[in-house]
Amino acid sequence: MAFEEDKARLQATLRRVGEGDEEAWREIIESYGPRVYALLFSRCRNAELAEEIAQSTFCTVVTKIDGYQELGKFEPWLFRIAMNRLRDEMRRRGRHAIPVSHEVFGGVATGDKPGGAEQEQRDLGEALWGAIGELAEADQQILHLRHVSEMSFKQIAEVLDQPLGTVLARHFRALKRVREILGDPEGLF
Amino acid sequence: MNEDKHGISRSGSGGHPHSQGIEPLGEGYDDLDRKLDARLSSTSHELRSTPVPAGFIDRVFEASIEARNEAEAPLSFTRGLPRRQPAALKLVALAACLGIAVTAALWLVNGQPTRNAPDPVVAIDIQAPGSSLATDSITLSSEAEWAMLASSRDHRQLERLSTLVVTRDMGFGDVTGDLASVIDAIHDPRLQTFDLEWQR
Repeated sequence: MAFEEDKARLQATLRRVGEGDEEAWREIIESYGPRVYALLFSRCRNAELAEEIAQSTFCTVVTKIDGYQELGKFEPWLFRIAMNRLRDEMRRRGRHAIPVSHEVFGGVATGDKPGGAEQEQRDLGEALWGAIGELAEADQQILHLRHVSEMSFKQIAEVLDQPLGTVLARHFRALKRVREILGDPEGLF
Repeated sequence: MNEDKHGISRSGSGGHPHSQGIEPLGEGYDDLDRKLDARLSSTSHELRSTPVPAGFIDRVFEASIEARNEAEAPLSFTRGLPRRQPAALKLVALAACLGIAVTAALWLVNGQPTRNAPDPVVAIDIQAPGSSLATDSITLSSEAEWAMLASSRDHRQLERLSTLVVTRDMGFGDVTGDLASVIDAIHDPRLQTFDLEWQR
């Protein structure tokens, strides 16, 4: 389901959730759960922790959704809770977000041995996201929210509770910094 | 198009190819930035499509429903209470405050003079040793005192007072003759009493 394409439908579904409709709530989880999980997993590289925080996030949302009125803020609200939970948990564990490793792009799970263009794509992904892992935490968050969660800059600003101009400037600098880390990105493309 | 100082589009309209759903960049970026951004989008597909663990949706759903039920329990209880409860609580709190204030005021008004007044002097009438005691209340006869002594036989220390009881009812005339005899005996060498005293 793609609520993003139908804001009115999302609004109606959230209203049903507020009225206690469990099926409507399940629709929300099915729509946003995988995205929240993917973002969390890309940041912490720990499936168990990602599920735990995702679960905690949806528990928090459902207990506060009574009387909620959708004004286009649900998605930033949801991801903001998730990101804050992850940040708190990482601080508690004394860890930082783990850069995306070759496990993501190397086909370890399937054991496949890709070749040719597919392997080049995986090498490129590993190099790019490895460089992103060297950025400041806030810059990494912007790039993850943009490319993994597919959020707009405005939504990213709402998730991170920062002015839109700050987010845009940080993103601009983050790309320049990635280019510096990669050295000669022209060759990669 | 609304642009910031970097020339980045805020309206989301742009012309570069991106995977569906990712906002295109504005005009403040050069070609290399755009290629890099496009590559990040294309390579993040594997990150976006990270498969959720089996049963993930069910577990999240059940946990969140349970959390909601737990959160609603105190809410329903609160809703069941009379609406006037907050006002009643305020009135009770106000009454308690007034009561404490009145009590404090009464304590200050009534307690202050008492606290400032000099401490009352407790007069203790101490009888000096040897001074005469009021004997009006003592009407016991010697027989009664004997009876009292007899009743206090267990207190051996009181027995030595028995000789004093004998002298209680004596008059001066009862003893002057004996005293004169003793004095005569002392001064009469024939009775040897004086010498006997000195010889001892």
